[in-house]
Parts: sequence; structure tokens; C-alpha cells
Amino acid sequence: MEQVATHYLWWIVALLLIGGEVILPGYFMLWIGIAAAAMGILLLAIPGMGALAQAIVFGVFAFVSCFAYWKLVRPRLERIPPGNERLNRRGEQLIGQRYVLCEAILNGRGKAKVGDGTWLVTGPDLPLGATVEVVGIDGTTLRVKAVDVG
Amino acid sequence: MGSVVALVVVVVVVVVLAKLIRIVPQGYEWTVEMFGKYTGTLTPGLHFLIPFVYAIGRKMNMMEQVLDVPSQDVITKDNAVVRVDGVVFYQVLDAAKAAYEVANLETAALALIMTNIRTVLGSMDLDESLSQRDAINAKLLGVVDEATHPWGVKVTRIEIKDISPPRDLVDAMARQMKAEREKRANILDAEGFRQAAILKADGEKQSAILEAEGKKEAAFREAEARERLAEAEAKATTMVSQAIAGGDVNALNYFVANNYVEALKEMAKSPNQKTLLLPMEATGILGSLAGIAELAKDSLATQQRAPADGVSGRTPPLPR
Repeated sequence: MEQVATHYLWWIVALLLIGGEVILPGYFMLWIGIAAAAMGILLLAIPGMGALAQAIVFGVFAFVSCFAYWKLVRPRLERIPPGNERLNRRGEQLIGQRYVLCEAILNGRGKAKVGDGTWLVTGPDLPLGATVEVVGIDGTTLRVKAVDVG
Repeated sequence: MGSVVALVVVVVVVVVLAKLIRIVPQGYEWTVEMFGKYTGTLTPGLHFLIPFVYAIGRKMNMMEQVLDVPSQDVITKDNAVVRVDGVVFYQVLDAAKAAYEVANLETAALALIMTNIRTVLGSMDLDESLSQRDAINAKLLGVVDEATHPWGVKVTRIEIKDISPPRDLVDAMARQMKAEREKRANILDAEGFRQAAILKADGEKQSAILEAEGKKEAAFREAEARERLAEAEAKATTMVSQAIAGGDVNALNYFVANNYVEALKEMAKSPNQKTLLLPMEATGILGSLAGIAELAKDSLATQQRAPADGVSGRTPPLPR
């Protein structure tokens, strides 16, 4: 460890971590790698730091870089293309849609025909064949409200 | 020594960060447990979890999934044994429920579907089950979807893939179909023959009727002709009688004699050589000759000539 200049050592660690990110997607190694590269730069500026001190500073750097990503970078990167906010959320895709009851709502529970299947619905008591609008979802049950047609 | 400690510190930092940062991939939701108790669900994306306190429980797949329903023998209402298999599409909508309400989601769902297939098919007879897949699918979906609700699972589709009766039953069905078609063909043949026979008979009847009508018409006309003839004869007779009444009887005698002579001529011409003429009344003929003689006498008298001898064999000249 003493044979190689310490800042080079940090850079090697940084490259390993960043390379590992490419091979094993986990997303956190990239930021730790960046922290390690920053340590190398710091050691170039301030040589002769103790090993333990280096480790602690590196730990602080790693946490800081991760939180910086979480708080500053991620909100700018995470732009979901419009229309895909409800990907994999089948129930939420139905919110705002109107369907016809295929089973009257009695005591707050009934069924509506959605596509070629049915969904359980909860809402105000309504007769068979009434049109309802989906306002929300609890698990596998749609919350509906009555809609005046015509 | 310091460098070893430093290395340990670095490794610990990396491990702690790896535990702290959680990235849930799209299409999955992870449940979070705090000392073994469910506290929440992580949606796709980046999350920070405090290590040692929180742990990841179950990683639930939130995408729609396909389950193959293995084939099984089912007895229909009319006691036919058929092999049935199918596919099920389902989607977890509530990760927490799917993770903790049921111990083994796939096994439970499959068991439910297989028993329900037996129930639904057991209430139908073979022909119905082969022809009403839609009804079977709809029934199954209704029951299974309802039953899987408590597990936070939406069964979106159940399709019966194959309903296969045993070999000998299939053969019998094919035979039945063939027999059915042959029966139809035979019936059509017979119908054709029947129609043809009816048409033929109808034709014969029509022709007989027409023939009879023709005969009847002909008879009518013949009768009419005879009537006309009789009328004409009657008229002629009347005219002759009138002429006789108004004139001389000798004129009549002339006609009769003329006819006798004509008749004799005909007899002589007859090709039958055995014809033997035996005048029944020679006197009649002679009488007629006498009548002719009378005629001659009269006519001669009117012409102021010498009278011919009373009876002669020569034919007098015709009066003018």
C-alpha cells in the first residue's frame, strides 16, 4: 500500500467502483467511486494524511455524494415521460374512466364491467346498469361515484 | 496497522451505503419490514433505508404474469372424461396483501383455478363444454377473481386452451357426424325420387285428362255431326215427302229404282267373288221397273210421242 502513491490508490479504487457499477447495476457504487476519486484529488492537494483520517474523510465524502445525488441530481434526472406515470399500476390507470355496473352496489359493494372482466367497486348504492366514474383505488377495489348520464 | 483499520472503515462504508441505498426496478414493488413487521412498500426508483432497522421483506412482481394450468382429467355432466388445460393471466395490485395474506400465491391461485375448472365443466355436458368456451372462461373468471381479491391480486383472464375427449370418443363423434351427413344425403335422395315420381304421375294424369277431354270433345262433335246429318236427312226426307205430296209418286219410284241399280252395280264390282246376290223381292225390283216404265210413259205422253211397249228391259232415257 505504501509502494503506490496514495492518491493513485484512491483513483484505482474509484475506477474499480465505477467499473463495478457498469457490470453490477446497483447505482450506489458510482457515487462511492466519485467519492474515492475526490479523495485522490484531495490527497494531491493535501498530502500526508493519516490512513484512518483518509478512511473517515472518504466515508463522509461517500455519504455526501450519495445525498447530493438524492437531493439535487435525481429530481432533475427523474423525468417520467408523460403518460407513463401509472406504468404497472393497473388500477390507477382506470381513475377518471366511466364504467357500467354489472352488479348493483348494495351496502356499498358491487361490480363494474371493465374491458372483458369485472372489478369490485365501492361507492353509493346504485342499481344495475348505472354508469359510475372511478375516483380512486384500494388494492383491487375501485372507489366510484355516481354519474348522471344525460 | 492504521492502513488495515482504514481498509476496514472503507469496506464498512461501502457495505453500509449498499444497505442504505435501495433501488427498486420498474415492474416491482418491495415490502419494507421493521424488525420483521411490515411497515410499507417501496415503489420503483431510488430509496434510502436506514440499515439494521429496516429490511426488505418481499420483492413482488407487479407486472401481469402468465400461469400455465397443467392439464387434468375432468368428468363432465354426462360422464365423459376430458383432458383440460389452460392459461391464467393475473397481476398483483397490492404488494403487501400478495406478500403476506397468502403463503404461496402461485400455488394457491392454481389450486383454486383447477378446482373451479372441475366445478364448471362438471356442470356441463360434453357437447356444451366443447362449444361454449366463452361461457366457461367467463364463469371461471368471475369465481376466481372474486376469490383472489383478498390476496390483492386481479385475475384478468382465464382461457381454457384445450379440451380433448379420449380417442374413442373423438372417433365416435366423427362417426356420428358422418352418419348425420349420410342421413341428410339419403333423405335428399329420397326427396328427389319422390318429387320426380310425383311430377311423372302428375304428367301422366294431365295427359290422360287431356286425352279424355279430346275424346269427349270429338264425341260431342261427332254427335253434333250425326245430328246435323240426321237433320239434313230429315229435311231431305221432308222435302222429298213434300215434293211427293205436291207432285207425282213416280218420281220417287225413279229414285228407288236408280238406287237399286246402283246397288247392283256395287255388288258386281265387289272383289269378293263369292258374293251371291239373291234378290229377296224380285217383284220389288220388277215393280220398280214398272214404276220406271210408268215414268217413261208419262214423259213420252207429255212429249206427244208414240207410247213405248209397256215392259221392256231397256232403261228409258232420263227426263229432261
